[in-house]
Amino acid sequence: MKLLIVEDSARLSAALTSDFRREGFAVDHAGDGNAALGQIETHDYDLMILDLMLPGVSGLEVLRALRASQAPTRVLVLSARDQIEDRVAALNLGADDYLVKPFDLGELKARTLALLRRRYGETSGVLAHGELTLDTNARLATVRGAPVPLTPKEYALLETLLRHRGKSFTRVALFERLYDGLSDASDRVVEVIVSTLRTKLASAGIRTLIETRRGFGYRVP
Amino acid sequence: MFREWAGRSLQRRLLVSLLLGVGLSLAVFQVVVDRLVDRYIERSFTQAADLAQRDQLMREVDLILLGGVVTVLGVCALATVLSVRRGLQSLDRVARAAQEISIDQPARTLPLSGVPTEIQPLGERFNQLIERLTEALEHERRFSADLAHELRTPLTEIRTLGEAGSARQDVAGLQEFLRQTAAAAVGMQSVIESLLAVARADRVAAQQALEPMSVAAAVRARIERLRITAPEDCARIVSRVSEGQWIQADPRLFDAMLLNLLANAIQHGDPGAAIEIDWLQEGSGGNGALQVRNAAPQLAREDLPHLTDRFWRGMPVKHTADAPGVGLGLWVVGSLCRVLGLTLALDLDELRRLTVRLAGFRAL
Repeated sequence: MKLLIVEDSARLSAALTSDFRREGFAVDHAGDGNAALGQIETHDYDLMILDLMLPGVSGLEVLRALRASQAPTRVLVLSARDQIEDRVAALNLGADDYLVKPFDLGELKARTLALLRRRYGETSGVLAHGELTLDTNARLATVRGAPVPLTPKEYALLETLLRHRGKSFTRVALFERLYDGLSDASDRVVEVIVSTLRTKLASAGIRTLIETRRGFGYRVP
Repeated sequence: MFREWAGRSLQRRLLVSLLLGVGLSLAVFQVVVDRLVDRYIERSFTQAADLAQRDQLMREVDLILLGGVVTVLGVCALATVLSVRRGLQSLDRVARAAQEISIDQPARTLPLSGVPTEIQPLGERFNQLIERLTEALEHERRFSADLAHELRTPLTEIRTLGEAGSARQDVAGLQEFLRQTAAAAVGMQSVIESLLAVARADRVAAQQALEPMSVAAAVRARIERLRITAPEDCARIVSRVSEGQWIQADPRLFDAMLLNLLANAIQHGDPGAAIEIDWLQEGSGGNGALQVRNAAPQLAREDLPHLTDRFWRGMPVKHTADAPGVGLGLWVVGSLCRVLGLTLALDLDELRRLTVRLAGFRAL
């Protein structure tokens, strides 16, 4: 899952970025409206956490540009403005949710996960495939009820493939979904993650979940 | 009982006074006319037969006079009631308007058109008090709203840093979170102090302690204090204020304005360019101006009118743990200038250098 945090407070965005990355999200950050417009032009994000009062281009203008581009990115507005008219304006422009500062980090994560479920048309926080179950709220993988100890990146890769069952992802496409724009890692790291993930799933009793299609990438059939 | 009934209403008191006056006058008039008629009749009727006729005539005259008095009194009473009621209509309107003024929202004054001239000063004074009260309430409401709004961001930073930091296992990461939390708390303190400075500006202006002060020494002292928290930024500050420049000012307020000007230049200016402080003589009147100039490459001329707006977020802000101020600098300076009677001028030249000039200091 790839997130964009648009927030001019460096301290707040650093804390949010750090926390979401720890959960396995790929997180990019934009400190002002112009930077945000550049990011949404060049990357596909599953969700954008957007502050409204930004230097230069305002958050509402960023939202308007995003919706004009027809991008399916979900938008959660995070703002110090608590008036009804501010919420109405943002929601009418295409925001999917609105949270007033200061907020509870747990609530922000819960709303983020809810928006991501809606993004992929899911009604519950559970992805199941045979004996494998993914609890997207707890970010936990289990096989026949027994937890599989996955790293955040392994979990994120497995969740991506399960969410898009049947669709093949190239190494680069998976890398872009798993890593933020400032990452120094090579896209070859995806091969390593797939390898370790297969090993862990195999030791849990699932041997043929992730297929490699030459020239197309990886998929879960 | 009667006095109480008549004394509570201006209209009733006027009516009673008028009736007493007219009644007394008519009574005196009746007595005088009665006497005159008596003398005339006594001279005209001397025979015994005439005496009975005279008494009859005198009774008729008394009845006519009494009827006249009663009629005049009735007409006067009616005229008085109508006249007084008409005259007091405007006061009734004022009284109703006064009753409709809410204690919490006194944003309504009394309608004084048509009010008797004797009452006019009272009404005007009342309206002035209402306007002052409205201003004070609006000021209080605005301050509360500003405080709540401006505190949300640092409060969110502190809360999120705390929540996110508590999940950290590594000591180095935890220490960084703690450092950032402390910096956010400092930012919150700056917000509160800035808002309080403006909220108290009127009182401060009234209580300012004017004294001779050296501009160069004040600038030097401020830079030294700033050096403790932002040493790298202070290295860029160049003061060209001459040592012999003295002014009559409140050193505390002068320092508050200079701090905000410098914090603004550090936060929004080009981090690689100098921040220049100058003192300018203004004509021959003995006044002087403090000027701070810094490179502001991201600023446009159309931004200038917004620089003293509190909510304006036109430029990226340098947010580091050590950066002084919280972006309210020019708003605070503008507010202090307003109450101190100084002039704040902003200019952006073709090299994108922002010049902020505080004019109107009394030079010695």
